[in-house]
Amino acid sequence: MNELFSKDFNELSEGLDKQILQISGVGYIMLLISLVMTVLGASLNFPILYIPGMTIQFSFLFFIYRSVRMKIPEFDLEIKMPSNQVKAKQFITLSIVLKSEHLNNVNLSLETSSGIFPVLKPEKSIISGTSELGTSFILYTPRRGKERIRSIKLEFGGIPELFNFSTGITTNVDIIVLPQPQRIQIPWTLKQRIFDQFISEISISRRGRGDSFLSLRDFEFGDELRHIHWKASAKWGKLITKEFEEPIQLRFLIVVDRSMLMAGPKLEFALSSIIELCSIIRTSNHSCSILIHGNETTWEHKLGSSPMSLNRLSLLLHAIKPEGTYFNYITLNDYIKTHRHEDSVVIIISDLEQEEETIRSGSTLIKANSQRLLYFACYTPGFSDLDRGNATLQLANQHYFQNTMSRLRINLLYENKVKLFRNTFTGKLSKFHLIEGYNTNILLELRDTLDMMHQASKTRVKGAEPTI
Amino acid sequence: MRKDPIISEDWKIGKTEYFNFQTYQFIEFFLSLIIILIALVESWQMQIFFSVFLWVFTMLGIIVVELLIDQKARGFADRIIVFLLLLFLAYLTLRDAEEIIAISLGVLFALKFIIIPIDNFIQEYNEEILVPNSDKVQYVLDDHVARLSETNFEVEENTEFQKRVFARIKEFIFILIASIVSSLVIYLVYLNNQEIGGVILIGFLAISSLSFSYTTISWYINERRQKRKKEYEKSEFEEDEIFPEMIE
Repeated sequence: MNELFSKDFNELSEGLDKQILQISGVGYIMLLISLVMTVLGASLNFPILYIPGMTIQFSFLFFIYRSVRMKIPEFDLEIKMPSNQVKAKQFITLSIVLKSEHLNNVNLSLETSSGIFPVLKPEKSIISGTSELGTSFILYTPRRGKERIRSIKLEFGGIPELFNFSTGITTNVDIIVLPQPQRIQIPWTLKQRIFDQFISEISISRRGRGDSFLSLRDFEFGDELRHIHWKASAKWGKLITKEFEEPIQLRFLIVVDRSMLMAGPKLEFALSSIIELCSIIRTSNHSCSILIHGNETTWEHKLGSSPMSLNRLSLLLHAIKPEGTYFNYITLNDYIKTHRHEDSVVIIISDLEQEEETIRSGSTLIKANSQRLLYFACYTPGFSDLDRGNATLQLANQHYFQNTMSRLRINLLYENKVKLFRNTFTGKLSKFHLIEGYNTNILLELRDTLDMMHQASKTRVKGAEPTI
Repeated sequence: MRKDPIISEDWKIGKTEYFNFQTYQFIEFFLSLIIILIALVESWQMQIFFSVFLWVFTMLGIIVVELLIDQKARGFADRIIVFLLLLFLAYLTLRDAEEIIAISLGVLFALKFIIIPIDNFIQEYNEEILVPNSDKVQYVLDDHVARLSETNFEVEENTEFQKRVFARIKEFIFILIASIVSSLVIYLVYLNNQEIGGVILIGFLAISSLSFSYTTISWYINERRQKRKKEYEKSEFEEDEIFPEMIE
C-alpha cells in the first residue's frame, strides 16, 4: 500500500498545544481521599490509613518536582494514510509514527469527527518515540461526506489515569468520503455484456460510414469501389457492394431524484448507481450527462472519457445534499430543453413517493423529450426507510403490530403505487423497473429490465403471427 | 460513540478482541485475601469474635466481587468503594492492633490502593469500538488486516501491545514503590520523634496542598482555553448536514 498521503508535524508547527500538567477526575478523587486518609491517619496514629494516603501524596509531589525541572520534549509526529479519499462503508487506515529521543511509552489518543468509527482497536494506543514502529488505526466511515481527524493527544510521564503531562497536535486532516460501492460487485465482462445487450435493444441500426458490416446491396453510382463484394458479385452476375452500420452514438442522461423523501439509503444507492453506470459508459463511444435534481435546482456534470473522470465524478458526488420536498418534473423538463438534452436515453433513479397527478403529468413531459426512458424506482420499505422500530402504540402489542400489521399495510399501499408507476411509465419507448432493496447492482437490475423488454417484444411478435 | 442506523446493519458496538486486556485480578484478590487473613488472625488473638464474623463475611464478599465477577466490567467507582469498605472495617476492628501488624497492613493497603489506577489505565484501552455483526463482515475485516501486514500500515500484534503496556506500567511503578518507602520512613520518624515527625508531616501536607491547588487552577484555565478553541473549530467544520434527520 503506497503512502500517498503523509503529513509531518513537528513541535514548531502552529497546531501544537501547550504542554500541560493534567489531573484526571480519578486523580482528583484519589488525591482528596489520600489527603483525608493522611490527616486522619496522622491524627489518630493509625498507619493503616496513613501509609496508603501518603503514597499517593508522595507520588504527586515527585511528579510536580519532575514537571518543574522538565522542558517540552522535542518530537516529530508523522501521520500516514493511503489516501485522504475513501468510499463510504470502507476502511481507512491511519499510521502514526512518533520520533523523539526523550519520549518513551506515550499514551496516544485520536480525536476524530463523529462520522468516523474505530474498528479492531479503540482510538488509543501506546507509542514510543525511540522505536520505528508506530501505531496503526483502522477506521470505518459509513456515511458519504467529509470527516476530519481533528487532533492527536499525547500523554506521558506521571501516573496515567491520575496525573501526567499532556500535549497535542491539532491536525485537522480532512477525509473525503465518496459514495459507497454497490453492494454486489459483478465482473467486468458481465457488465460489458449487459451494456452491449442494452445498446442493441434500444438503438436502431443506421446505414453509414462505419466499420461494422450491416448487409449487401446492389452497387449504386457513387459507392466506393473498395467496398465491392467480389464473390457475391460473381455469384449474382452484377456488382454487389457491402453496406456498413453508422456507429451508434447515444446520449445518456442519468437523472437522480434528490428530494428530501429520497434522502437516506435510497439516495446513497442512487449515487453509487451513477458511478457504476458511468464506469461502463465511459469506456464506450457514447456520451453521458448526470443530473441530480430536486425541486428547483439541478446539479449537472458531463462525464469525460479520461480514466480520471470517474474519480472526479465520485469526488463531486460526495458533497451532494438532498434538496427540495418533492421531485419536480416540470423544472426537470425545462432544464432538459434549455440545456439541449432532448432525444437522450433518460435513466431516472427515484422512488415511489410521488403523487399520482405528478407522476402522470411528469411522465408525459419527459417521454416527449427523450429517445428512451427507463425509470428505476427504489422500493422504500426495502430500503428500510420505514423500519424505524420506534413507533409506540397504546392499544396494540407493539411487536406484533410492527412485524405483521404495519408491514401488510405498507406492502398493500406500495402495491397500488407500483401498479400506478408501472402503468404510467411502461410503453414502447419507456420502461419501469422496481428495485426492491440495496443488496443488488444497478446493472443487474438493468439486465432484468432488458429481459422483461425482450420477453414483452416476443409476446408482441407471437401475438402478431397470423392464425391459420 | 454516536448511534447511526447505517452501521447497525453490519456492525454492533462492542469491545476489542484483537488485544487481550489483563487486569491484575489475581493480584488484587491476593492482596485482599492477605489483608483479611491477617485481620482474622489478629481479631482471633484479640478475642473479638464480632470482628472475626465481620471479616469472614467480608472474605465471602471479596471472593464474589474480586474473583467471580468479570474484572473488565468493574470500574473505578467499584474498586474504590471496595477499598474504602475494607479500610473502614480495618479501622473499626484493628485500632488496637500491634504496631508491626498495623504497618504491614498499611503497606498492603497502599499496594491495593495503587493497583486501582493501574487497572484503570489498562481499562482505558478497552473502550467501545465497532465489532462485526456477521461472519461475512468479520471475514472482510480479517482480510483487510492480513493485507495490511505486508505494508507500512501494519497493526501491531497483541504481544507487541502487551509489551508496550508493561513498559508504561514499569515507568510509574517505580514512583509508586518509592512513595510507599518514603511514607514508611516518614511514619517511622514520626513514631520515634513526634515533634520532628509532625513538623515534616505538616510541611509535606502544606506543599502537597499548594501544588494541588496550583495544578488545579492552571489546568482549569487551560481547559477553558482549549474548550473555546474547540468550539471555534467545530463551528467552522460542517458536520452531519447531509442527513441531519437520520441521526437518532
